[in-house]
Amino acid sequence: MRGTPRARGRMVSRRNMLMVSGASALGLFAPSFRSAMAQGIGGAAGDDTAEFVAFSRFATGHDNLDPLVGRSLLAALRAQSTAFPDQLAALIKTVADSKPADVEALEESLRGNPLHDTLLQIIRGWYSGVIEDGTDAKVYAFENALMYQPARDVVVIPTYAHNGPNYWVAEPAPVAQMPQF
Amino acid sequence: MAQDTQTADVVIVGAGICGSMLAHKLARNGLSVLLLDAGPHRDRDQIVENWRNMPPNNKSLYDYATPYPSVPWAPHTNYFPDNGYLIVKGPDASAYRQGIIKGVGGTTWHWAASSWRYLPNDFRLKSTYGVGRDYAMSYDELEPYYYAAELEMGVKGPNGQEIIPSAPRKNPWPMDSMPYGPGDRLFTEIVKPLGYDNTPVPQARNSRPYDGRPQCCGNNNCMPICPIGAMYHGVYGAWKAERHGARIIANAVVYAIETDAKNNIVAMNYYDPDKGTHRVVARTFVIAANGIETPKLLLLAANDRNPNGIANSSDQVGRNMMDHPGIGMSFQAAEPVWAGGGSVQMSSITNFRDGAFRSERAAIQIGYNNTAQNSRAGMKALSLGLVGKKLDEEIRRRSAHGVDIYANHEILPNPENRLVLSKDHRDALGIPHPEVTYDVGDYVRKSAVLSRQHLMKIAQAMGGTEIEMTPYFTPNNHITGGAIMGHDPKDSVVDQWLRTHDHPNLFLATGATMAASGTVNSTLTMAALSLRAGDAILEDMKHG
Repeated sequence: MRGTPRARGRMVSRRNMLMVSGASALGLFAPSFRSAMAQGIGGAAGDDTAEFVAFSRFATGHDNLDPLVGRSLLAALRAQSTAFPDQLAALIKTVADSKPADVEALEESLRGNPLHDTLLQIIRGWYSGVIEDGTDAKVYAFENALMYQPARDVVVIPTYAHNGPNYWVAEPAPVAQMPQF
Repeated sequence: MAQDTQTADVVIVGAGICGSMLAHKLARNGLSVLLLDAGPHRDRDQIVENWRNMPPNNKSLYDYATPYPSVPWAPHTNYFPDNGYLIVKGPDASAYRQGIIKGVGGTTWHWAASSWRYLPNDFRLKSTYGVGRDYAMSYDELEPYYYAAELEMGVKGPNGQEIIPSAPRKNPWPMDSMPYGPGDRLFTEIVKPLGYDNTPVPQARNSRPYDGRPQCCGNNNCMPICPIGAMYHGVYGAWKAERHGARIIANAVVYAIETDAKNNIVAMNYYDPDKGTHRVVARTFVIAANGIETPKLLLLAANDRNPNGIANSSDQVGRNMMDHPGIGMSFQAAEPVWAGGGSVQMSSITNFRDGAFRSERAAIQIGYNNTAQNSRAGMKALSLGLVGKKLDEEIRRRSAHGVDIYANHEILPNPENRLVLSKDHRDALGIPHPEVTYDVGDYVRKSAVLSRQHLMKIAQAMGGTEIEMTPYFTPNNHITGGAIMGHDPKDSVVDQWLRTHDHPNLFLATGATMAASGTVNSTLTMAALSLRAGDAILEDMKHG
């Protein structure tokens, strides 16, 4: 069970890879088809996702972000709001132009700006694994949601085995000692 | 007229822990057993996936229901949001919002597996303290069945440790307790100088491989689902019963009960999910649903000879509804506590389980909740609008320092705390929803004043900040009462063998029969009572 969500992710990934490869092969002969596929499939898994994940690395302060989660979050944020692509582009431009030292500086500079909400929405997505409230919200990440990582060296991510039986007799690490993730 | 008829020596309605363990016992002893459950079969892997795919806010609020989808033909409670199945009324309606699961295995799919024995005085509350009711048997008479249930469930306990008060034992617990995690260790240390003895909770959870199931490795998700089956669930009894030849029919919603001129039960009728009707015939019948569904069915099945409901000549069916009204408290401790090492409940303060004070006010149990705080920490830190390193630090800090404690109270059986069939709410099969009116009473309220002081004293000793305490009483899903036992058929529903006074071949194997709530989790006691009823059923069969 440990690998179930990831296994499913791999399946999706492989299927998508095949579809993208097929689209590329067809695309050699049919430019208009290639263009349609790029919007429909390649677009969701390709450069846009890379760009979103790259910005998300800055927004979360963490480099090790799962691109499959990134693709799902990006698709969901776009589906939630037609303004999202423009807001994301504006955030990326803001970072490029003003070169804030880190996300704390960016967050502070955006207070009062509508882009502040967009920034926090992206961060909440990566940390909580959802982009909506409510009991029906779709979950895009659980065991790799960032909110489970800061205490992961001591506190089990529920349902997963942290270590063997009685691992909990060990003294926990200091609170100040943040694990790398 | 029913479409088909199936027969067995014994028909058991309800494949939860009581019905399943009883089915196993009877099938092992050579009887043909038909085990019906209103709900579906449940699949552990699917439940785990459902939980993982549940929104983090539900996780942080301890939503144990959503991973178990309710089915239209056998709805059960869900409060995320409230699906309206269980209607609660009265001054303490909040305290009766019970979590139950329909389906093979029943509600022990999600429980903390706390498996206490009640104290001898819990069985003679009226005789000893002049309040409440006495059980129809003594602790000593139930003792062998307690042990049989502990062996079957695989209960680990504090062997060799003297805890006062404790239920006397003739045999050690089948397994020793597993060690505390950092949270229970620190909590025990801090409360000791305050005069509280925090001691290991007996749990139906493997501290070593036992009965073909693995040792607990601290996934810390006992509620709502143990992902590896180190914790006992009722479904294991159902599977064992099946291996001994019992037949299990899921999605079978019993709605009618046929009786003869001597008021023996002749047959029961059930609906399938499409409302097709089926009939089951047996020599002996057992209703082993929980304390809500058992009285609901008895009332629903009223017939011409039993116009107030089956087994209800006393008018006590659906009365004396009990649980353990709780008070919850959460805070941030000064020291890191690191909840989450081990199972979700490992220890408890039981100094106040018994004493002369029970003539005036409720016994109480105080406990530390060892559920990992990371879901709650994450959602709280995000709600503060933090980003970057501050966000990570806040999540880690709250995961380390977050504390949940609680106090649970004994409640007295009160006939006015009553379950009736709703007049205006029905499920997809047309069966009325249960409606419960609940008032915890002054016996509880007097103790609750002291409980709040205990909790506050502990929070202060732990240097608590952000202290929050529920201003109302919370439910604990320790459903007792509803078809209470006694010697007198005029004021009770079943006798000491759980045989209904009105119907010689109908037994109620359920916590509904418990005459006093005690202070601790009720499951082991109802399981022991059910195994004891099994002996009466086997004895009946010998004599034809």
